[in-house]
Amino acid sequence: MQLITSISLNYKQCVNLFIRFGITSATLVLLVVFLSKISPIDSGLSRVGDQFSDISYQAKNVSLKHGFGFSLLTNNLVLQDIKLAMPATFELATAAMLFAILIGVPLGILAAVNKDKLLDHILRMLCLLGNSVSIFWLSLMAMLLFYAKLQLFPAPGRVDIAFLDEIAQPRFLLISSILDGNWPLFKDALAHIMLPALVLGYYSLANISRMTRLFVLQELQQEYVITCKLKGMPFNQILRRHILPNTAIKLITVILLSYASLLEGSTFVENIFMWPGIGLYLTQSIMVNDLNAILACTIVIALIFITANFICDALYKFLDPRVANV
Amino acid sequence: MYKQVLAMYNNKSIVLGFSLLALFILVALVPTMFTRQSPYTPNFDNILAPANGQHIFGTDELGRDLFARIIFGTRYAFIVVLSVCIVTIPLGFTIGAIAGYKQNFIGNFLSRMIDVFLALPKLIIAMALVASVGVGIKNAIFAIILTAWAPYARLTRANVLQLKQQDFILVLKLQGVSSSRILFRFIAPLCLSPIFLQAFLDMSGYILMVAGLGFLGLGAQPPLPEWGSMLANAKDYILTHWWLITYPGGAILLLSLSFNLIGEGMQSVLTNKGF
Repeated sequence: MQLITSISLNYKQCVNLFIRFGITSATLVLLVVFLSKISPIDSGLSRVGDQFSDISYQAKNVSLKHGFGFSLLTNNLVLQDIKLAMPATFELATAAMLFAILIGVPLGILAAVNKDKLLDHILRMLCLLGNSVSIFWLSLMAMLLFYAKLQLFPAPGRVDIAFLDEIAQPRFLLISSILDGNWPLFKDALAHIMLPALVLGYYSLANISRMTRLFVLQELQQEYVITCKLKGMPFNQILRRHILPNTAIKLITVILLSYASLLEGSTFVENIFMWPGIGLYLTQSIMVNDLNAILACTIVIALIFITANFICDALYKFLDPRVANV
Repeated sequence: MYKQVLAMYNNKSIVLGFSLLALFILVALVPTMFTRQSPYTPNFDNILAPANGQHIFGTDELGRDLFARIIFGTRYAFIVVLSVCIVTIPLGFTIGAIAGYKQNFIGNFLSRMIDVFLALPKLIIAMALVASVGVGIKNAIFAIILTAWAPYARLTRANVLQLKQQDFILVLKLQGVSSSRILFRFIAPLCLSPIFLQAFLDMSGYILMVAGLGFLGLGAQPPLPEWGSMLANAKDYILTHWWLITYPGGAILLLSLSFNLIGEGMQSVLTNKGF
């Protein structure tokens, strides 16, 4: 009987989550449509000459069916441009996330184990700085230091000029170059992705390591840790066998959320490192007042963000039944 | 209360944060105390000069004194933070309180609205709003406000949901006190300290956001010495003139660091968790 009530509760919560997701997306679309109506920018009038009649009609038709209209920047359909840009953004965000997880999670665990010692304080400063620094300034400083002064990394961009043809199609460069066995391209792409990924990764590293530390500390206070200690289990084993699996559940949601917010942060990083992703496309469209592209990018980025939020909520309730029944 | 104040005084990060903030407030109130140079007057004989005796941070691409521009720019950062807080805190509190206190249609609707605005990506929405409606520091502030009220509303709603089940609220109800009076006279004071804590934690976010909008050319317009738009101009000189990007960004970092230090410290004093 108990089981049935808990399942029905979960069902109700699932519906609730879906409703919230639907309402949020609807609000987003309404907001964007509202912005396009009140905006003084006329996407039709910003085109002149013989192109005016036909294209301006389509340019005003900012619907998905019309590919969000035409872009002033590239003269392509905005949807086409976004399709081309998305893999680049995902590649950068994934590389940044890998860096943030590989450094952030161990750092958080070490800080929790050595609470109030030197390492903990170092991490605390790191997090404070990470929350206080503006990501575009960090990118500029990284470029100034590592590219201009030390010349450790190649010039901004996704690949060297020699390989420009390679990024004409939407694809994940690092993966596809390995699959093709194109090692010079892989090396070049890797060298180009390093610096932006490091900067972008630091942006979420602070959050991830901080949450890891918090979760491990919470687990350390649980009674099962005392039981394990009493039965003589070495601390390393307690950490590996019991604490880490328990924190992993909560960490997955944190990581997913940071991944979504990386998309926001990558707007600036892409702009500065000339990374041909959706963030660069958005900022360049802002520069030329291209309303179609701006609003289309807003919808795409925000929808990804909202979906990640939604998946996070669902996952959290699914993986941790204690939360679901609260 | 006295104990808490004492604990705050003993907390290193709060003291450090407040002293930094006090310095910035002084700079914002009387910028002329710190520099004699004008932040607007160009000097074409002295373009992009490195630091020297007359210009301690050097000059920018129009020969204006960089130090003076940073000093006068402090004011804009505070204008943004203050105007956002003045609007969002009462707005968020009112919406959150009604959402938590009323169990009817309005309450449910407001609760949904809070969830929706929490789930929207703040920066992208702000960028879209300013880019399509028009650039300028006023619109940038409005764009930040659009999503910034939601955390306060969520916090207040959670607090009100807890508080309204307490016995003293029942007693007040039985005495026939109106619900708005209960909310604003009795529940509001109890919700204030978490809200102010949230405000200090969020303030650095507002500064970073308005600087980001300025950097994309969406915030304050030239010749206003706003830090973000100064960085936008300096971007073209990054390879040759390092001081143009280093100092304004450093100012942003220090100011938002001071807010974060205070927020973190208050968190550890008030809630005993924090970092």
